[in-house]
Amino acid sequence: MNKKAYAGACFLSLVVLIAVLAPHICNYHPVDTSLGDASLPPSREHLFGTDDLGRDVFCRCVFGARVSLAVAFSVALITTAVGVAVGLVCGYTGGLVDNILMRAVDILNSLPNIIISIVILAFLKPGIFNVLAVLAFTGWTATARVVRSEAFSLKTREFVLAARALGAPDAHIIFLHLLPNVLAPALVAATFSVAHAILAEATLSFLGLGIPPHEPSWGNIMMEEMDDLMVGVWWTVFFPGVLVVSTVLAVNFLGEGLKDALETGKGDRHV
Amino acid sequence: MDLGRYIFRRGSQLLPLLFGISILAFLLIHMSPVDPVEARLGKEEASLLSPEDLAGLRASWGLDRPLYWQYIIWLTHVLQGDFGISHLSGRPALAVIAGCIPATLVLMGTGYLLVVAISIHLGAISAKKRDTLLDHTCTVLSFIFYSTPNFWLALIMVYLFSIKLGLLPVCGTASPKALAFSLPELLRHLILPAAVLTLTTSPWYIRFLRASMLEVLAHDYVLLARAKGLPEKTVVFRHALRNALLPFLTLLGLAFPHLIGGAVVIETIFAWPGVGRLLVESALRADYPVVMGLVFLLSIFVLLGNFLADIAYLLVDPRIRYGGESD
Repeated sequence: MNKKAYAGACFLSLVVLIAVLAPHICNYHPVDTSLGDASLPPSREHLFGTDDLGRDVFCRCVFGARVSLAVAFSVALITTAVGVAVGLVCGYTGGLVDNILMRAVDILNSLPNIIISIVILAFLKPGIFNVLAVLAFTGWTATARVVRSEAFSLKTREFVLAARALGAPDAHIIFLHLLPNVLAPALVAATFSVAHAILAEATLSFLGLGIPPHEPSWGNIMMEEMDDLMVGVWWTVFFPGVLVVSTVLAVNFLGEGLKDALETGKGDRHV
Repeated sequence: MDLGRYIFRRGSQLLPLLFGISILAFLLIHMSPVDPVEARLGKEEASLLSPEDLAGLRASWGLDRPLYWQYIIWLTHVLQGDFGISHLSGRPALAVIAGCIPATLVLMGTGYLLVVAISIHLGAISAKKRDTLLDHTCTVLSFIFYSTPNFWLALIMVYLFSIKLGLLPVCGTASPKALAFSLPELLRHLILPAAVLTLTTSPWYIRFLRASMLEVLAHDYVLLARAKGLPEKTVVFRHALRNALLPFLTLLGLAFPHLIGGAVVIETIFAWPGVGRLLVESALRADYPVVMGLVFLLSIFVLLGNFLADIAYLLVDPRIRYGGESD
Protein backbone atom coordinates (compact mmCIF):
# COMPACT_ATOMS: atom_id res chain seq x y z
CA MET A 1 0.00 0.00 0.00
CA ASN A 2 1.25 3.50 -0.65
CA LYS A 3 2.48 6.05 1.83
CA LYS A 4 -0.63 8.21 1.70
CA ALA A 5 -2.82 5.27 2.60
CA TYR A 6 -0.54 4.42 5.54
CA ALA A 7 -0.58 7.99 6.76
CA GLY A 8 -4.36 8.01 6.41
CA ALA A 9 -4.76 4.78 8.35
CA CYS A 10 -2.45 6.01 11.13
CA PHE A 11 -4.22 9.34 11.50
CA LEU A 12 -7.63 7.70 11.49
CA SER A 13 -6.57 5.23 14.18
CA LEU A 14 -5.27 8.13 16.25
CA VAL A 15 -8.57 9.99 16.00
CA VAL A 16 -10.52 6.84 16.86
CA LEU A 17 -8.22 6.23 19.85
CA ILE A 18 -8.70 9.79 21.09
CA ALA A 19 -12.47 9.46 20.72
CA VAL A 20 -12.50 6.19 22.66
CA LEU A 21 -10.30 7.58 25.44
CA ALA A 22 -12.11 10.93 25.52
CA PRO A 23 -12.91 11.05 29.28
CA HIS A 24 -9.26 10.29 30.11
CA ILE A 25 -7.85 12.93 27.80
CA CYS A 26 -10.04 15.87 28.72
CA ASN A 27 -9.56 17.98 31.81
CA TYR A 28 -12.91 19.66 31.28
CA HIS A 29 -16.43 18.48 30.72
CA PRO A 30 -17.62 19.20 27.14
CA VAL A 31 -20.90 20.83 28.20
CA ASP A 32 -19.90 22.48 31.50
CA THR A 33 -20.04 26.24 31.13
CA SER A 34 -17.79 28.70 32.91
CA LEU A 35 -18.68 32.23 31.94
CA GLY A 36 -15.56 33.63 33.60
CA ASP A 37 -13.44 31.85 30.97
CA ALA A 38 -15.57 32.86 27.97
CA SER A 39 -13.93 33.23 24.54
CA LEU A 40 -10.33 32.70 25.61
CA PRO A 41 -7.85 32.29 22.75
CA PRO A 42 -5.86 29.03 22.43
CA SER A 43 -3.35 28.66 25.26
CA ARG A 44 -1.56 25.91 27.17
CA GLU A 45 -4.53 25.69 29.52
CA HIS A 46 -7.13 25.54 26.72
CA LEU A 47 -5.45 24.02 23.67
CA PHE A 48 -8.17 25.11 21.23
CA GLY A 49 -9.39 28.06 23.34
CA THR A 50 -12.85 28.38 24.86
CA ASP A 51 -16.22 29.33 23.39
CA ASP A 52 -18.63 32.12 24.37
CA LEU A 53 -19.94 30.04 27.29
CA GLY A 54 -16.46 29.24 28.57
CA ARG A 55 -16.56 25.62 27.40
CA ASP A 56 -13.20 24.11 26.43
CA VAL A 57 -13.20 23.72 22.62
CA PHE A 58 -10.62 20.93 22.64
CA CYS A 59 -12.78 18.80 24.93
CA ARG A 60 -15.85 19.55 22.88
CA CYS A 61 -13.98 18.44 19.75
CA VAL A 62 -12.75 15.25 21.43
CA PHE A 63 -16.23 14.34 22.65
CA GLY A 64 -17.64 15.51 19.31
CA ALA A 65 -15.36 12.99 17.61
CA ARG A 66 -17.22 10.23 19.45
CA VAL A 67 -20.57 11.30 18.03
CA SER A 68 -19.32 12.16 14.54
CA LEU A 69 -17.29 8.97 14.14
CA ALA A 70 -19.97 6.75 15.67
CA VAL A 71 -22.51 8.12 13.21
CA ALA A 72 -20.10 7.83 10.27
CA PHE A 73 -19.05 4.24 11.00
CA SER A 74 -22.59 3.09 11.69
CA VAL A 75 -23.78 4.66 8.46
CA ALA A 76 -20.95 2.99 6.55
CA LEU A 77 -21.78 -0.37 8.12
CA ILE A 78 -25.47 -0.15 7.28
CA THR A 79 -25.01 1.21 3.75
CA THR A 80 -22.42 -1.46 2.96
CA ALA A 81 -24.60 -4.29 4.28
CA VAL A 82 -27.65 -3.05 2.38
CA GLY A 83 -25.64 -2.15 -0.72
CA VAL A 84 -23.94 -5.54 -0.90
CA ALA A 85 -27.21 -7.42 -0.35
CA VAL A 86 -29.11 -5.41 -2.96
CA GLY A 87 -26.19 -5.45 -5.39
CA LEU A 88 -25.74 -9.22 -5.16
CA VAL A 89 -29.42 -9.99 -5.56
CA CYS A 90 -29.81 -7.57 -8.46
CA GLY A 91 -26.65 -8.63 -10.24
CA TYR A 92 -27.25 -12.34 -9.81
CA THR A 93 -30.97 -12.66 -10.42
CA GLY A 94 -31.52 -9.80 -12.88
CA GLY A 95 -35.01 -9.50 -14.32
CA LEU A 96 -37.91 -7.86 -12.52
CA VAL A 97 -36.33 -7.62 -9.05
CA ASP A 98 -33.25 -5.99 -10.55
CA ASN A 99 -35.38 -3.62 -12.57
CA ILE A 100 -37.46 -2.48 -9.60
CA LEU A 101 -34.51 -2.03 -7.24
CA MET A 102 -32.43 -0.21 -9.82
CA ARG A 103 -35.30 2.20 -10.54
CA ALA A 104 -35.40 2.86 -6.79
CA VAL A 105 -31.68 3.67 -7.04
CA ASP A 106 -32.41 6.00 -9.96
CA ILE A 107 -35.10 7.80 -7.97
CA LEU A 108 -32.76 8.31 -5.02
CA ASN A 109 -30.05 9.50 -7.38
CA SER A 110 -32.29 12.05 -9.08
CA LEU A 111 -31.42 14.51 -6.32
CA PRO A 112 -28.16 15.10 -4.47
CA ASN A 113 -28.04 13.18 -1.17
CA ILE A 114 -27.74 16.38 0.84
CA ILE A 115 -31.05 17.68 -0.57
CA ILE A 116 -32.90 14.40 0.07
CA SER A 117 -31.53 14.41 3.62
CA ILE A 118 -32.63 18.01 4.21
CA VAL A 119 -36.13 17.28 2.88
CA ILE A 120 -36.64 14.14 4.95
CA LEU A 121 -35.21 15.74 8.09
CA ALA A 122 -37.62 18.63 7.59
CA PHE A 123 -40.38 16.15 8.43
CA LEU A 124 -38.54 14.56 11.34
CA LYS A 125 -37.14 15.88 14.60
CA PRO A 126 -33.39 16.45 14.76
CA GLY A 127 -31.58 13.70 16.62
CA ILE A 128 -28.79 11.19 16.24
CA PHE A 129 -31.04 8.32 15.25
CA ASN A 130 -32.85 10.29 12.55
CA VAL A 131 -29.58 11.56 11.08
CA LEU A 132 -28.24 8.04 11.02
CA ALA A 133 -31.39 6.70 9.37
CA VAL A 134 -31.46 9.42 6.73
CA LEU A 135 -27.77 9.08 5.85
CA ALA A 136 -28.16 5.30 5.59
CA PHE A 137 -31.27 5.69 3.45
CA THR A 138 -29.51 7.96 0.96
CA GLY A 139 -26.09 6.31 1.07
CA TRP A 140 -26.52 2.68 0.01
CA THR A 141 -27.04 3.28 -3.71
CA ALA A 142 -23.38 3.79 -4.64
CA THR A 143 -22.31 0.49 -3.05
CA ALA A 144 -25.28 -1.32 -4.56
CA ARG A 145 -24.32 -0.14 -8.05
CA VAL A 146 -20.68 -1.18 -7.71
CA VAL A 147 -21.53 -4.59 -6.25
CA ARG A 148 -24.26 -5.17 -8.82
CA SER A 149 -21.96 -4.65 -11.77
CA GLU A 150 -19.32 -6.90 -10.17
CA ALA A 151 -21.88 -9.64 -9.52
CA PHE A 152 -23.19 -9.19 -13.05
CA SER A 153 -19.82 -9.94 -14.59
CA LEU A 154 -18.98 -12.66 -12.06
CA LYS A 155 -22.05 -14.71 -12.77
CA THR A 156 -20.86 -15.59 -16.26
CA ARG A 157 -17.43 -16.68 -15.03
CA GLU A 158 -16.47 -20.34 -15.28
CA PHE A 159 -16.41 -21.09 -11.56
CA VAL A 160 -19.96 -19.84 -11.13
CA LEU A 161 -21.16 -21.72 -14.19
CA ALA A 162 -19.43 -24.84 -12.87
CA ALA A 163 -21.11 -24.48 -9.47
CA ARG A 164 -24.43 -24.05 -11.17
CA ALA A 165 -23.86 -27.02 -13.42
CA LEU A 166 -23.17 -29.11 -10.32
CA GLY A 167 -26.58 -28.12 -9.06
CA ALA A 168 -25.55 -25.68 -6.30
CA PRO A 169 -28.53 -23.70 -4.97
CA ASP A 170 -28.65 -19.93 -5.61
CA ALA A 171 -27.99 -19.10 -1.95
CA HIS A 172 -24.85 -21.23 -2.03
CA ILE A 173 -23.58 -19.46 -5.15
CA ILE A 174 -24.38 -16.01 -3.80
CA PHE A 175 -22.80 -16.54 -0.39
CA LEU A 176 -19.85 -18.75 -1.22
CA HIS A 177 -18.88 -17.71 -4.73
CA LEU A 178 -20.09 -14.16 -5.32
CA LEU A 179 -19.84 -12.62 -1.85
CA PRO A 180 -16.10 -13.25 -1.31
CA ASN A 181 -15.36 -11.72 -4.69
CA VAL A 182 -17.31 -8.51 -4.16
CA LEU A 183 -15.83 -7.86 -0.73
CA ALA A 184 -12.87 -5.92 -2.13
CA PRO A 185 -14.90 -3.30 -4.03
CA ALA A 186 -17.39 -3.24 -1.15
CA LEU A 187 -14.58 -2.44 1.28
CA VAL A 188 -13.42 0.45 -0.91
CA ALA A 189 -16.98 1.74 -1.18
CA ALA A 190 -17.40 1.40 2.59
CA THR A 191 -14.28 3.48 3.19
CA PHE A 192 -15.52 6.27 0.97
CA SER A 193 -18.93 6.16 2.60
CA VAL A 194 -17.26 6.86 5.97
CA ALA A 195 -15.81 10.04 4.43
CA HIS A 196 -19.17 11.00 2.93
CA ALA A 197 -20.99 10.37 6.17
CA ILE A 198 -18.59 12.53 8.23
CA LEU A 199 -19.08 15.42 5.79
CA ALA A 200 -22.84 14.90 5.54
CA GLU A 201 -23.33 14.73 9.30
CA ALA A 202 -21.25 17.87 9.78
CA THR A 203 -23.22 19.70 7.10
CA LEU A 204 -26.65 18.66 8.39
CA SER A 205 -25.76 19.46 11.99
CA PHE A 206 -24.34 22.77 10.84
CA LEU A 207 -27.63 23.61 9.09
CA GLY A 208 -29.47 22.82 12.34
CA LEU A 209 -31.16 19.72 10.90
CA GLY A 210 -28.74 17.18 12.32
CA ILE A 211 -27.57 16.38 15.79
CA PRO A 212 -29.02 18.76 18.41
CA PRO A 213 -26.55 21.08 20.21
CA HIS A 214 -26.65 19.45 23.65
CA GLU A 215 -24.72 16.53 22.15
CA PRO A 216 -21.52 18.02 20.71
CA SER A 217 -20.60 16.79 17.24
CA TRP A 218 -18.06 18.40 14.90
CA GLY A 219 -20.86 19.92 12.84
CA ASN A 220 -22.96 21.45 15.60
CA ILE A 221 -19.94 22.88 17.46
CA MET A 222 -19.30 25.01 14.38
CA MET A 223 -22.99 25.83 13.98
CA GLU A 224 -23.28 27.10 17.54
CA GLU A 225 -20.18 29.25 17.42
CA MET A 226 -20.19 30.72 13.93
CA ASP A 227 -21.62 34.05 15.06
CA ASP A 228 -18.48 34.55 17.14
CA LEU A 229 -16.45 34.84 13.93
CA MET A 230 -17.88 38.34 13.53
CA VAL A 231 -16.19 39.46 16.73
CA GLY A 232 -12.89 37.82 15.84
CA VAL A 233 -13.25 34.55 17.76
CA TRP A 234 -11.95 32.20 15.07
CA TRP A 235 -10.76 29.23 17.10
CA THR A 236 -14.21 27.84 17.91
CA VAL A 237 -14.92 27.31 14.21
CA PHE A 238 -11.40 26.75 12.92
CA PHE A 239 -10.32 23.73 15.00
CA PRO A 240 -13.41 21.50 14.62
CA GLY A 241 -13.22 22.20 10.87
CA VAL A 242 -9.56 21.24 10.71
CA LEU A 243 -10.46 17.98 12.45
CA VAL A 244 -13.20 17.28 9.91
CA VAL A 245 -10.92 18.07 6.95
CA SER A 246 -8.00 16.01 8.22
CA THR A 247 -10.12 13.02 9.20
CA VAL A 248 -12.01 13.00 5.90
CA LEU A 249 -8.72 13.45 4.05
CA ALA A 250 -7.23 10.50 5.95
CA VAL A 251 -10.23 8.32 5.08
CA ASN A 252 -10.07 9.36 1.42
CA PHE A 253 -6.34 8.59 1.23
CA LEU A 254 -7.01 5.22 2.81
CA GLY A 255 -9.81 4.57 0.32
CA GLU A 256 -7.65 5.50 -2.67
CA GLY A 257 -4.84 3.30 -1.36
CA LEU A 258 -7.18 0.35 -0.85
CA LYS A 259 -8.58 0.88 -4.33
CA ASP A 260 -5.12 0.80 -5.91
CA ALA A 261 -3.98 -2.16 -3.83
CA LEU A 262 -7.09 -4.24 -4.44
CA GLU A 263 -7.31 -3.46 -8.14
CA THR A 264 -3.78 -4.61 -8.86
CA GLY A 265 -4.58 -7.89 -7.11
CA LYS A 266 -7.53 -8.51 -9.40
CA GLY A 267 -5.94 -11.65 -10.90
CA ASP A 268 -5.96 -13.80 -7.80
CA ARG A 269 -9.51 -14.03 -6.61
CA HIS A 270 -11.21 -16.48 -4.32
CA VAL A 271 -12.96 -19.15 -6.27
CA MET B 1 -30.53 2.24 -33.58
CA ASP B 2 -30.97 5.72 -34.99
CA LEU B 3 -30.68 8.85 -32.97
CA GLY B 4 -34.36 9.75 -32.90
CA ARG B 5 -35.42 6.39 -31.60
CA TYR B 6 -32.68 6.41 -28.99
CA ILE B 7 -33.76 9.81 -27.75
CA PHE B 8 -37.35 8.63 -27.61
CA ARG B 9 -36.46 5.48 -25.72
CA ARG B 10 -34.18 7.29 -23.30
CA GLY B 11 -36.75 10.03 -22.83
CA SER B 12 -39.58 7.61 -22.13
CA GLN B 13 -37.55 6.19 -19.25
CA LEU B 14 -37.86 9.53 -17.51
CA LEU B 15 -41.62 9.21 -17.04
CA PRO B 16 -41.64 6.22 -14.66
CA LEU B 17 -38.87 7.92 -12.68
CA LEU B 18 -40.91 11.09 -12.29
CA PHE B 19 -43.90 8.95 -11.37
CA GLY B 20 -41.86 7.28 -8.63
CA ILE B 21 -40.62 10.61 -7.34
CA SER B 22 -44.16 11.99 -7.27
CA ILE B 23 -45.39 9.00 -5.23
CA LEU B 24 -42.59 9.41 -2.70
CA ALA B 25 -43.20 13.14 -2.48
CA PHE B 26 -46.92 12.60 -1.97
CA LEU B 27 -46.35 10.03 0.77
CA LEU B 28 -43.92 12.36 2.56
CA ILE B 29 -46.46 15.18 2.49
CA HIS B 30 -49.21 12.82 3.57
CA MET B 31 -47.20 11.75 6.61
CA SER B 32 -46.37 15.32 7.54
CA PRO B 33 -48.11 16.84 10.54
CA VAL B 34 -49.48 19.76 8.51
CA ASP B 35 -53.18 19.91 7.73
CA PRO B 36 -53.81 19.84 3.95
CA VAL B 37 -56.44 22.57 4.14
CA GLU B 38 -53.96 24.87 5.85
CA ALA B 39 -51.38 23.88 3.27
CA ARG B 40 -53.66 24.95 0.43
CA LEU B 41 -55.23 28.08 1.92
CA GLY B 42 -52.53 29.29 4.25
CA LYS B 43 -52.83 29.19 8.03
CA GLU B 44 -54.58 32.51 8.49
CA GLU B 45 -57.43 31.90 6.06
CA ALA B 46 -57.98 28.36 7.30
CA SER B 47 -58.37 29.62 10.87
CA LEU B 48 -61.22 31.91 9.79
CA LEU B 49 -63.37 29.04 8.52
CA SER B 50 -66.04 27.33 10.58
CA PRO B 51 -65.78 23.57 11.22
CA GLU B 52 -68.65 22.93 8.78
CA ASP B 53 -66.90 24.93 6.06
CA LEU B 54 -63.70 23.01 6.72
CA ALA B 55 -65.51 19.70 6.45
CA GLY B 56 -67.11 20.89 3.20
CA LEU B 57 -63.74 21.89 1.79
CA ARG B 58 -62.23 18.55 2.80
CA ALA B 59 -64.99 16.73 0.96
CA SER B 60 -64.75 18.92 -2.14
CA TRP B 61 -60.97 18.43 -2.27
CA GLY B 62 -61.35 14.69 -1.91
CA LEU B 63 -59.56 14.50 1.42
CA ASP B 64 -62.15 12.00 2.64
CA ARG B 65 -61.44 9.69 -0.30
CA PRO B 66 -59.00 6.76 -0.32
CA LEU B 67 -55.28 7.47 -0.49
CA TYR B 68 -54.78 6.66 -4.18
CA TRP B 69 -57.62 9.02 -5.09
CA GLN B 70 -56.02 11.77 -3.02
CA TYR B 71 -52.80 11.12 -4.85
CA ILE B 72 -54.49 11.55 -8.23
CA ILE B 73 -56.06 14.83 -7.11
CA TRP B 74 -52.73 16.03 -5.74
CA LEU B 75 -50.94 15.08 -8.94
CA THR B 76 -53.40 16.97 -11.16
CA HIS B 77 -52.78 20.07 -9.06
CA VAL B 78 -49.01 19.61 -9.25
CA LEU B 79 -49.11 19.11 -13.01
CA GLN B 80 -50.85 22.47 -13.28
CA GLY B 81 -48.02 24.03 -11.29
CA ASP B 82 -50.11 24.30 -8.12
CA PHE B 83 -47.97 23.16 -5.20
CA GLY B 84 -50.10 24.91 -2.59
CA ILE B 85 -49.59 28.09 -0.59
CA SER B 86 -46.34 28.80 1.22
CA HIS B 87 -47.03 29.01 4.97
CA LEU B 88 -44.26 31.52 5.47
CA SER B 89 -45.08 34.10 2.83
CA GLY B 90 -48.72 33.30 2.06
CA ARG B 91 -47.95 33.33 -1.66
CA PRO B 92 -48.25 30.37 -4.05
CA ALA B 93 -45.26 28.07 -3.57
CA LEU B 94 -44.41 28.13 -7.26
CA ALA B 95 -44.18 31.93 -7.27
CA VAL B 96 -41.92 31.89 -4.21
CA ILE B 97 -39.64 29.37 -5.92
CA ALA B 98 -39.60 31.25 -9.22
CA GLY B 99 -38.50 34.40 -7.41
CA CYS B 100 -35.39 32.62 -6.18
CA ILE B 101 -34.27 31.14 -9.50
CA PRO B 102 -32.34 34.13 -10.94
CA ALA B 103 -29.95 34.38 -7.96
CA THR B 104 -29.24 30.65 -8.10
CA LEU B 105 -28.65 30.81 -11.84
CA VAL B 106 -26.08 33.57 -11.38
CA LEU B 107 -24.21 31.67 -8.66
CA MET B 108 -24.39 28.24 -10.26
CA GLY B 109 -23.67 29.54 -13.77
CA THR B 110 -20.52 31.26 -12.52
CA GLY B 111 -19.55 28.17 -10.54
CA TYR B 112 -20.15 25.93 -13.54
CA LEU B 113 -18.00 27.99 -15.91
CA LEU B 114 -15.19 28.21 -13.37
CA VAL B 115 -15.31 24.49 -12.59
CA VAL B 116 -15.16 23.60 -16.29
CA ALA B 117 -12.32 26.01 -17.06
CA ILE B 118 -10.24 25.08 -14.02
CA SER B 119 -10.69 21.34 -14.23
CA ILE B 120 -9.87 21.14 -17.93
CA HIS B 121 -6.71 23.18 -17.48
CA LEU B 122 -5.43 21.64 -14.28
CA GLY B 123 -6.49 18.12 -15.27
CA ALA B 124 -4.70 18.30 -18.62
CA ILE B 125 -1.54 19.91 -17.26
CA SER B 126 -1.44 17.55 -14.30
CA ALA B 127 -1.60 14.54 -16.61
CA LYS B 128 0.94 15.97 -19.03
CA LYS B 129 3.43 16.65 -16.24
CA ARG B 130 2.70 13.40 -14.46
CA ASP B 131 4.70 12.77 -11.27
CA THR B 132 6.28 16.21 -11.26
CA LEU B 133 6.06 18.61 -8.35
CA LEU B 134 3.19 20.39 -10.12
CA ASP B 135 1.20 17.19 -10.47
CA HIS B 136 1.75 16.20 -6.84
CA THR B 137 0.78 19.64 -5.56
CA CYS B 138 -2.34 19.54 -7.69
CA THR B 139 -3.22 16.06 -6.44
CA VAL B 140 -2.75 16.91 -2.78
CA LEU B 141 -4.68 20.17 -3.09
CA SER B 142 -7.49 18.36 -4.92
CA PHE B 143 -7.73 15.83 -2.12
CA ILE B 144 -7.71 18.52 0.55
CA PHE B 145 -10.47 20.57 -1.05
CA TYR B 146 -12.42 17.41 -1.84
CA SER B 147 -12.36 16.60 1.87
CA THR B 148 -13.28 20.11 3.01
CA PRO B 149 -16.85 20.83 4.11
CA ASN B 150 -18.03 23.74 1.96
CA PHE B 151 -19.65 25.55 4.88
CA TRP B 152 -16.39 25.56 6.82
CA LEU B 153 -14.39 26.88 3.87
CA ALA B 154 -17.04 29.57 3.45
CA LEU B 155 -16.78 30.61 7.11
CA ILE B 156 -12.99 30.71 7.03
CA MET B 157 -12.97 32.78 3.83
CA VAL B 158 -15.56 35.18 5.23
CA TYR B 159 -13.42 35.55 8.34
CA LEU B 160 -10.26 36.19 6.33
CA PHE B 161 -11.47 38.34 3.47
CA SER B 162 -14.46 40.12 4.97
CA ILE B 163 -13.88 40.43 8.68
CA LYS B 164 -10.08 40.56 8.99
CA LEU B 165 -9.11 42.23 5.72
CA GLY B 166 -12.40 43.99 5.00
CA LEU B 167 -12.00 43.43 1.27
CA LEU B 168 -15.26 41.75 0.40
CA PRO B 169 -18.85 41.89 1.66
CA VAL B 170 -19.94 39.26 4.20
CA CYS B 171 -23.21 38.22 2.56
CA GLY B 172 -26.17 39.14 0.38
CA THR B 173 -26.24 40.25 -3.24
CA ALA B 174 -25.97 44.03 -2.76
CA SER B 175 -25.04 46.39 0.01
CA PRO B 176 -28.00 47.63 2.06
CA LYS B 177 -27.29 51.23 1.02
CA ALA B 178 -27.55 50.48 -2.69
CA LEU B 179 -30.75 51.88 -4.16
CA ALA B 180 -30.60 50.46 -7.65
CA PHE B 181 -29.17 47.31 -9.10
CA SER B 182 -25.51 47.65 -9.99
CA LEU B 183 -23.45 44.99 -11.70
CA PRO B 184 -20.12 45.76 -9.97
CA GLU B 185 -21.86 45.44 -6.59
CA LEU B 186 -23.32 42.08 -7.56
CA LEU B 187 -19.95 40.82 -8.78
CA ARG B 188 -18.24 41.93 -5.57
CA HIS B 189 -20.81 39.96 -3.58
CA LEU B 190 -20.48 37.00 -5.92
CA ILE B 191 -16.72 36.48 -5.46
CA LEU B 192 -16.75 34.60 -2.15
CA PRO B 193 -19.73 32.28 -2.73
CA ALA B 194 -18.59 31.46 -6.27
CA ALA B 195 -15.03 30.82 -5.06
CA VAL B 196 -16.20 28.41 -2.36
CA LEU B 197 -18.52 26.62 -4.78
CA THR B 198 -15.73 26.27 -7.34
CA LEU B 199 -13.02 25.21 -4.89
CA THR B 200 -15.12 22.46 -3.35
CA THR B 201 -16.65 21.22 -6.62
CA SER B 202 -13.62 21.25 -8.96
CA PRO B 203 -11.34 18.61 -7.33
CA TRP B 204 -13.50 15.72 -8.42
CA TYR B 205 -13.50 16.93 -12.04
CA ILE B 206 -9.77 17.67 -12.03
CA ARG B 207 -9.07 14.11 -10.87
CA PHE B 208 -11.44 12.71 -13.45
CA LEU B 209 -9.94 14.62 -16.37
CA ARG B 210 -6.42 13.76 -15.23
CA ALA B 211 -7.27 10.05 -15.22
CA SER B 212 -9.01 10.34 -18.56
CA MET B 213 -6.02 12.21 -20.04
CA LEU B 214 -3.54 9.61 -18.75
CA GLU B 215 -5.56 6.88 -20.40
CA VAL B 216 -5.66 8.74 -23.73
CA LEU B 217 -1.96 9.65 -23.63
CA ALA B 218 -1.11 5.94 -23.55
CA HIS B 219 -2.86 5.33 -26.90
CA ASP B 220 -1.04 4.53 -30.11
CA TYR B 221 -2.26 7.59 -31.98
CA VAL B 222 -0.60 9.80 -29.39
CA LEU B 223 2.62 7.86 -29.88
CA LEU B 224 2.22 8.30 -33.62
CA ALA B 225 1.65 12.02 -33.27
CA ARG B 226 4.82 12.25 -31.20
CA ALA B 227 6.74 10.07 -33.69
CA LYS B 228 5.69 12.37 -36.48
CA GLY B 229 7.60 15.04 -34.62
CA LEU B 230 4.61 17.19 -33.78
CA PRO B 231 5.25 19.76 -31.08
CA GLU B 232 4.29 18.48 -27.61
CA LYS B 233 1.65 21.18 -27.26
CA THR B 234 -0.15 20.02 -30.37
CA VAL B 235 0.02 16.40 -29.25
CA VAL B 236 -1.40 17.14 -25.83
CA PHE B 237 -4.00 19.73 -26.59
CA ARG B 238 -5.02 18.77 -30.14
CA HIS B 239 -4.80 15.01 -30.10
CA ALA B 240 -5.11 13.90 -26.52
CA LEU B 241 -7.29 16.50 -24.83
CA ARG B 242 -10.03 16.28 -27.45
CA ASN B 243 -10.47 12.60 -26.81
CA ALA B 244 -10.09 12.90 -23.07
CA LEU B 245 -12.95 15.39 -23.07
CA LEU B 246 -15.44 12.83 -24.36
CA PRO B 247 -16.18 11.09 -21.05
CA PHE B 248 -15.83 14.48 -19.38
CA LEU B 249 -18.85 15.72 -21.31
CA THR B 250 -21.20 13.25 -19.64
CA LEU B 251 -19.81 14.35 -16.35
CA LEU B 252 -20.64 17.97 -17.06
CA GLY B 253 -24.30 17.06 -17.42
CA LEU B 254 -24.06 15.45 -14.03
CA ALA B 255 -22.45 18.57 -12.59
CA PHE B 256 -25.86 20.11 -12.01
CA PRO B 257 -26.78 17.98 -8.98
CA HIS B 258 -23.23 18.40 -7.72
CA LEU B 259 -23.47 22.18 -7.92
CA ILE B 260 -26.98 22.46 -6.53
CA GLY B 261 -25.95 20.30 -3.58
CA GLY B 262 -23.14 22.75 -2.87
CA ALA B 263 -25.31 25.78 -3.54
CA VAL B 264 -27.81 24.71 -0.86
CA VAL B 265 -25.23 25.17 1.87
CA ILE B 266 -23.29 28.07 0.37
CA GLU B 267 -26.41 30.15 -0.34
CA THR B 268 -27.50 29.63 3.25
CA ILE B 269 -24.23 30.93 4.66
CA PHE B 270 -23.90 33.89 2.33
CA ALA B 271 -27.62 34.77 2.57
CA TRP B 272 -27.69 34.47 -1.21
CA PRO B 273 -31.40 34.65 -2.12
CA GLY B 274 -31.54 31.51 -4.27
CA VAL B 275 -33.43 28.22 -4.26
CA GLY B 276 -30.83 26.49 -2.08
CA ARG B 277 -31.33 28.91 0.78
CA LEU B 278 -35.08 28.75 0.21
CA LEU B 279 -34.95 24.96 0.60
CA VAL B 280 -33.06 25.09 3.89
CA GLU B 281 -35.25 27.87 5.33
CA SER B 282 -38.45 26.15 4.28
CA ALA B 283 -37.22 22.84 5.65
CA LEU B 284 -36.24 24.39 8.99
CA ARG B 285 -39.60 26.14 9.31
CA ALA B 286 -41.75 23.29 7.98
CA ASP B 287 -42.99 25.13 4.88
CA TYR B 288 -43.86 21.86 3.14
CA PRO B 289 -45.52 23.16 -0.06
CA VAL B 290 -42.32 25.02 -0.96
CA VAL B 291 -40.09 22.07 0.03
CA MET B 292 -42.03 19.63 -2.12
CA GLY B 293 -42.26 22.05 -5.02
CA LEU B 294 -38.48 22.42 -4.92
CA VAL B 295 -37.97 18.66 -4.72
CA PHE B 296 -40.11 18.20 -7.78
CA LEU B 297 -38.57 20.95 -9.89
CA LEU B 298 -34.98 20.17 -8.92
CA SER B 299 -35.34 16.48 -9.68
CA ILE B 300 -36.84 17.31 -13.07
CA PHE B 301 -33.81 19.50 -13.77
CA VAL B 302 -31.39 16.80 -12.64
CA LEU B 303 -33.07 14.16 -14.80
CA LEU B 304 -33.13 16.54 -17.77
CA GLY B 305 -29.44 17.27 -17.23
CA ASN B 306 -28.61 13.56 -17.31
CA PHE B 307 -30.78 13.13 -20.39
CA LEU B 308 -29.09 15.99 -22.26
CA ALA B 309 -25.65 14.72 -21.25
CA ASP B 310 -26.46 11.32 -22.71
CA ILE B 311 -27.66 12.88 -25.96
CA ALA B 312 -24.60 15.13 -26.18
CA TYR B 313 -22.33 12.16 -25.62
CA LEU B 314 -24.13 10.31 -28.34
CA LEU B 315 -23.69 13.18 -30.77
CA VAL B 316 -19.95 13.53 -30.25
CA ASP B 317 -19.14 9.84 -30.03
CA PRO B 318 -20.95 7.83 -32.71
CA ARG B 319 -19.46 4.58 -31.41
CA ILE B 320 -21.98 4.49 -28.59
CA ARG B 321 -24.92 5.16 -30.86
CA TYR B 322 -24.77 1.71 -32.35
CA GLY B 323 -23.82 -0.26 -29.29
CA GLY B 324 -26.29 -1.18 -26.60
CA GLU B 325 -26.91 1.21 -23.76
CA SER B 326 -25.72 0.37 -20.34
CA ASP B 327 -27.61 1.15 -17.21
